[in-house]
Amino acid sequence: MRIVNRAHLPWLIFVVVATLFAIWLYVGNFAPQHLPSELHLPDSLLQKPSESHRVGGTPLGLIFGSIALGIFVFAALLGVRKKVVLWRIGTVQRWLRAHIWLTLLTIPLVILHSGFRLGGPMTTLIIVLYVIVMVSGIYGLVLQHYMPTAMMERLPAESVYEQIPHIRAQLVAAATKMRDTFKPAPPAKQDAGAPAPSAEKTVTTGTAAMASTSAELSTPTARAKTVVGSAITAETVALPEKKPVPASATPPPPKPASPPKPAASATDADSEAALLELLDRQILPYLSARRGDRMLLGNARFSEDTFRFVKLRVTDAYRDRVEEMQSWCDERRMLDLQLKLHHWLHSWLFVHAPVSFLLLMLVFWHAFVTLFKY
Amino acid sequence: MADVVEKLTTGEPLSVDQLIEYLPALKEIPRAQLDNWAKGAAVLHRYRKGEIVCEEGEFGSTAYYIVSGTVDIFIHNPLAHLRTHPVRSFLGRSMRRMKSFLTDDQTDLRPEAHQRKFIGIDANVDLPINRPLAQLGPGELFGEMTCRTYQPRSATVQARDPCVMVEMLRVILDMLVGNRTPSDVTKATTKVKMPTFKGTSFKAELERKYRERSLSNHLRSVPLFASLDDEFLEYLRQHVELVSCNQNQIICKEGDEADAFYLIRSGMVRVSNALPGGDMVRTYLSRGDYFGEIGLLRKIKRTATCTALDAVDVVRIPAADFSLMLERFPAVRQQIEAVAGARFAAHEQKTIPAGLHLDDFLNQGLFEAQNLLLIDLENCTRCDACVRACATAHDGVSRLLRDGLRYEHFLVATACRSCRDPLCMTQCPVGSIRRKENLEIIIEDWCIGCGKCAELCPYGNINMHPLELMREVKTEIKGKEGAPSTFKVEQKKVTAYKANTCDLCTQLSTPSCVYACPHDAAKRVDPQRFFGDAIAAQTELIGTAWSQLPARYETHHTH
Repeated sequence: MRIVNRAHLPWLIFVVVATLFAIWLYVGNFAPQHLPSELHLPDSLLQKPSESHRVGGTPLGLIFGSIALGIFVFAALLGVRKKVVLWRIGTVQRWLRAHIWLTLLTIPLVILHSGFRLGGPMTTLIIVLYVIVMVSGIYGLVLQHYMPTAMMERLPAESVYEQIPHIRAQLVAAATKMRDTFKPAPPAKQDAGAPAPSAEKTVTTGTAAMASTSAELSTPTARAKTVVGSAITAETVALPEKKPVPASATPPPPKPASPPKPAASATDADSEAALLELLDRQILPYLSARRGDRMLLGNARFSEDTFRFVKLRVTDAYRDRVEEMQSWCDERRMLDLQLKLHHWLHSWLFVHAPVSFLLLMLVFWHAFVTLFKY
Repeated sequence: MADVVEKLTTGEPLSVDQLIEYLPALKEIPRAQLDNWAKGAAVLHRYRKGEIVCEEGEFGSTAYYIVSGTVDIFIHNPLAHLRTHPVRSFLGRSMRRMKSFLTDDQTDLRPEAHQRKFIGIDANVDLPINRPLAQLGPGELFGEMTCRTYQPRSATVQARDPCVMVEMLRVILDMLVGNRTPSDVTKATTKVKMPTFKGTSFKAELERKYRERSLSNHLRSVPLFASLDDEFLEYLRQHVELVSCNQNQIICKEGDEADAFYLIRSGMVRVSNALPGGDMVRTYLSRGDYFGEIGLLRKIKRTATCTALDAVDVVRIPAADFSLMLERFPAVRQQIEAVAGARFAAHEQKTIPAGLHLDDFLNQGLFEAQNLLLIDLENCTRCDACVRACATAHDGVSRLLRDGLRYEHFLVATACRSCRDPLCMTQCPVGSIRRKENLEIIIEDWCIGCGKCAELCPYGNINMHPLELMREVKTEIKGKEGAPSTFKVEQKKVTAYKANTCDLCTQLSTPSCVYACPHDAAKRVDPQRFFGDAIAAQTELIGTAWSQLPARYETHHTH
């Protein structure tokens, strides 16, 4: 919900006026000496002296408290309203607007109700919970104001959130399929520039025709790339991360032991060996990882450098495959970023909603105890 | 020939001589051509009484010729449309839930539902709309459009008596009724060079039968001609021309003199206007529809170009006869003028707002859309309340997907756009998907559930809604030791399908998705007005305050 919007203006005015009115009542009753004489309350609004020394127990304090309690109940009903979407009892948007502004109004009401004191353990606990609820709610509001725009700018092609695991699996399947097209064979001649191949990761000198898997992938990036005006640039997909990359999370990257050999001197077998190595050691672990952002390829700059380096080491016939691999990693990085932003955008609710419920229960208990037990 | 064998997997293969025996008109084709092309291109079928020849919605590539016996030709699928209604709960109106069910036009008359009396099918007969059943006898041909354009079978055919039929591939059909000149695209892409067949006396015979038996019905099936008396219908029957058109042939061209009125006998006609960026399709017309009336009524030049999408047969009523009809029957004039007025108004509406980002606007097909579900990505928190609301409103099956391409800061959600060029309409075998005069898509009651429209929609916005129905099913029990077979009739639960698309929750004041959005992100808008006004606002900014701009974006909701 974007708060800087003309639709919020009446609510802002209402809350400011209601707050000023509540303060005027409070000061007029409990500290009239601070008010200029022309602002003194009329007699009808002055309450009789109360037996209780606490503001909350006075009629005015009770009114503040009751209004705040009513707002809490209304605020809790937003959850119910969202569940029953077809009820034609005001748009959810209006409910949310009322939820935001009325709960903001509870800040002065609760403060005035408490008389600027925490009170006993019970009321202190309520105030603590109230602070958590309000802070988490305002934090959520700020996130909802800024994050959608940030998501739009940083994620040029979003997926449906629920489909992210499926798309990840598609990427792994595509990489596995490409890996399977390389035929393992006894060790051939060793390339000085290539990473040392293990016994299982050597390839034949023959060149197996390798089918591109791009046609089978229907990922958001793939779709967006087909549209004019939605082309994905390296800056937008590959977000440069400023934090240092954890080095211990994955095996060492395929850094060259010696300067890369020019493509002209690389053979198809060398190319396949290099790609197989890259797939086994970097790409497949990255695509299969639960937390891709902790892997080396999760870093856009590292990924860019790695693939540029690999392109130099393979023959022209294999460069398309390298680009395909790079697109998988870019896609995966974007999915990870979407997950991260999505979690940021919604995780505050896991604090806000249950604590609000607990607060409401305690407030009811507080009202019951103070009204009927004292 | 391998291809031929695959298509004709059942039946007795016919030699050329046998084929001539069953279809004597083929004698008119040179023997060399027959030997070259007709071998293995037809099979003979013998059907027992009650046996199904083909079923509606089935895909096929052959036509059938009835040698002996009669068949029933009918539509199985319930003649009804899908309607979602709020069901009141015990708590009253505001706490209601939605339920989808089938209802027909008698009980739920939609304001612009077609007032047809007959359903056009792929045969020389029309099915009455109140009881979609007809008979075909010896000498009749059916399945011509399926054979020519591979569209799904339009109706179910069941043997009424023991029948003998010839099932043929397109080459035999071309020999019999003549082939149409293929379009340049077809010529460029096809590998097989087909000879040109002019047709035989069989074609003339078919046309004679059509003129004798079906034309009157066909003319009467057009609501406009319902008030004509028998005498004038007979006059028209004698005077109209039956015209066959090739694929992509222009039947009448925008700007030409209006010289005739056309009624479509078979095939699909595209109605379009030439615009600087290319043609803009206004609609597709199918069997039973008509065109060419605006120019004749208003004495103006043609306002649109009508092109045969495939092999099209039309009934052409010359201008003189048309004028005579209007003179003699004022009621017909009144009706035609009303329709022409609506079409003319729709035609006048189409203009491109200046200043739009035309590349994206055209590439994403937004210009084609007239009602978009947009999600403002600057407001949307991806909570999916819109999708849940849609699902709740439609029996748990959402008709929108919060996924799609972006235009500016909006996501164009996957939900019906009411396209101006509705590709979904181009291959409906029974013409049940059509658009109202306001260009909104409507699926008529006689949808047979073949799913062709869903397949053709480029945006995946048409769903096939499954419905459990009880249907009478005949099972053959073969008699022992030469005893005749018997049929066991039982009621079985079957799944029928009806195409449906976003209904805009028309029974509610605001679409459910928009109503349920907590963040003012979901909007149903006319893209041209919505984006066009934003552009207009930007151009006005020199003289106005910035605060005007957001207000313009909020103005044009379609619902």
